[in-house]
Amino acid sequence: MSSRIVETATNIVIPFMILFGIYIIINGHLTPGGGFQGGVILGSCALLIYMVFGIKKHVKYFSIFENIGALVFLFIGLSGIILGGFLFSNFIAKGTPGTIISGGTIPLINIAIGLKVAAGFAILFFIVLEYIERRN
Amino acid sequence: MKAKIGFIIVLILGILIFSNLKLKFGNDVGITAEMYIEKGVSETGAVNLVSSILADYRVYDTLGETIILFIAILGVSMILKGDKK
Repeated sequence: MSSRIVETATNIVIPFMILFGIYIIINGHLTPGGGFQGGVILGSCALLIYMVFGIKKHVKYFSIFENIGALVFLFIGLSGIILGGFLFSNFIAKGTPGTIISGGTIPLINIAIGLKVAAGFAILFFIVLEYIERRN
Repeated sequence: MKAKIGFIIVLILGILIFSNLKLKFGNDVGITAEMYIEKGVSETGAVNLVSSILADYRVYDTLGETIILFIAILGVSMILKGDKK
């Protein structure tokens, strides 16, 4: 259902979209953005690849990534009990504000949430699109 | 019957609206907001205040959000991912 124009434009745009999503996730504690927003950008990259090229071999690995994201998030929270005293305490050294290594556990939580949200939204899009294809 | 229910709904709506007219949002009631603005950077180390609220002060909200996303995926896959026959 895609033309050659759409395929060429997607080939050009996709690397920048993935880079922008990773930038939004990693700089979540410095600039506007965060795990959820960058994860949605990465998930819509997967949607674009599937809609244009029809590649879906990698779908079965997305649930593994989602589980890894959720488990890392919960592991950070539970290790806060041991190292900081209460659940989800900010137990890593804060660093100087404004640099990329600052904020304690906030960048780690952003990365875990971004992984989970990207995989989760990709799975959602794939399931709905497969259902629409099956209906037609 | 319907008129009575409608009257009660409009009455509750009016009470909710006119009881909130006295409240001043922003200056007098926002003690926690002022606390976040003053101590947010020094307590969490993150410059982005929204991110420090979402991932440090109100991290249970983020936990619930991930659980909601998981349940949404579970429901969609249970309903729509029928086996091919």
